[in-house]
Amino acid sequence: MARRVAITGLGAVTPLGNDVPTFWRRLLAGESGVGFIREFPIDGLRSDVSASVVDFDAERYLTKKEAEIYGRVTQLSLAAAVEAMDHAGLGGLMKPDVPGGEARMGLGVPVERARVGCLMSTGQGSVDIFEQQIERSRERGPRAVSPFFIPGVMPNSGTALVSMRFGLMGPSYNLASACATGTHSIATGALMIEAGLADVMLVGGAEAATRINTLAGFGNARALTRAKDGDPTRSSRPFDVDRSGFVMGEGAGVLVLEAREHAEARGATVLAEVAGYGMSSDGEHLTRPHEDGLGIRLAVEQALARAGLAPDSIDYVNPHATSTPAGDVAEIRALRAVFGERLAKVPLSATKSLLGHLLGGAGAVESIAVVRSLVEGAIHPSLNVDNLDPALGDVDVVRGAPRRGPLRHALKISAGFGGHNCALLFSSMR
Amino acid sequence: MSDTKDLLPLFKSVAERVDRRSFETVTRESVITDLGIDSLSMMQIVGEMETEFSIQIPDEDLVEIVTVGDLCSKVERRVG
Repeated sequence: MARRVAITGLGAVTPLGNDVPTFWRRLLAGESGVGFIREFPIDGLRSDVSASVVDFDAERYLTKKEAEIYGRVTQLSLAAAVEAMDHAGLGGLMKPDVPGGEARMGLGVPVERARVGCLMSTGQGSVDIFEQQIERSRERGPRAVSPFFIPGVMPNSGTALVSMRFGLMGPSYNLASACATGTHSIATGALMIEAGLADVMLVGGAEAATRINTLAGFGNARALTRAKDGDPTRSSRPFDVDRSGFVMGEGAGVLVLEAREHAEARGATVLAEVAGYGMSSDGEHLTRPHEDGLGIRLAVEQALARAGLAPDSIDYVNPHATSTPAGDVAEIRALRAVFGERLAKVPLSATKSLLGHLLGGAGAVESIAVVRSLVEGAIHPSLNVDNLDPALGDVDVVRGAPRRGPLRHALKISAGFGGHNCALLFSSMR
Repeated sequence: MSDTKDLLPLFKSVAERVDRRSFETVTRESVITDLGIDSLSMMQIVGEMETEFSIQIPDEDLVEIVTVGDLCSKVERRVG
């Protein structure tokens, strides 16, 4: 029998707060993390809104030198990983001679380092470092390019930094599947624990790529929306009839996954379990989702099968729901194919309506919201569903106030450019 | 080589800029690895000094550099 995969720690840096408690409180309150873009001029861009992390204190986690070497996505990744490790009671693994290390000395190391791995992924990598060093080369010639350019810009710099910080010696790498990156990282981490490759896996996703040219790229692909009636907080509106694209966001989410028996043996609190996961591809188009969401359907069916559960057991679905016209319809078609008429009675809530789209970080941060839902028996509301799109048929989107009540099993779905789909099935400890 | 071209102050300011910390007490006798300057930071410092004086220090010369004074001498010789 496969080993059971427990979740023992959570960490997040998001536009709604730089730790999980703040993020979750504001999510439940239905607050928006979306605002006007202030970091650079937006002349010529097709979008004027983004969801940014504010008041992030890099020097709490990194030396000044490290803050220069590593891009923002790597910095956010480390911060989320530190919170997750502390939450899991594994903060004592931190090296003593790094920022924050001294404070964690003497906490003990209740695990074997070679059995702890890391899949801290990003979809796009350190776009900021790339821009900066290319500019430097253009101004001063290629000899002026920093020797730290490559280790700083490589997409695995986040997972490398986290592994070095905590002295992890189990498997570590970066995987990328665009907007499904965080979700695939969780699924793959769970798979590795089940397969016995590690006892503990730090898994997650991050993105901090809101720059002029990435906004131009997504915008010119007609994927982004704008402030609605002058209000940025109304721009991200999954399932609303007036939705017109997503809002670029930044942030990081990390989960500590652990073999259930390993967590219990060291007395760790188990928050929830990864009971199943499914991965599939549309195999069809680079950016457009399959019209009927066939790939998403396959991923959800696999997740259910792997958990040994029927669709009837699912109490909550946190969908991909980016707020693009075609994407939301395709996803609901996929869900209807799985749930049939019962879909009308399954609560849905779109985290991106409050948080924007964290791209490579989305699946991880949204999974953290799902885990919090299972722990507390509360589903955060979706924002901006003023007029539910009639094309979606009968669906139950949680609106206005949180929906409270015990939850046993919940699904998280992600889909990325490239046709990559991943579904996770989380189970509460009730 | 004249002593008027002592590059120690320049080394300190470049190292401070590159590693983002103080090198106040460094002397020409200081061993570079003892200062916690790793190989990539060292390459960054060399690169900054090369750019400063529009010189090039061949890679073969770099392996001989152990102390701060060794590096300063390499640069001083080419600038002088």
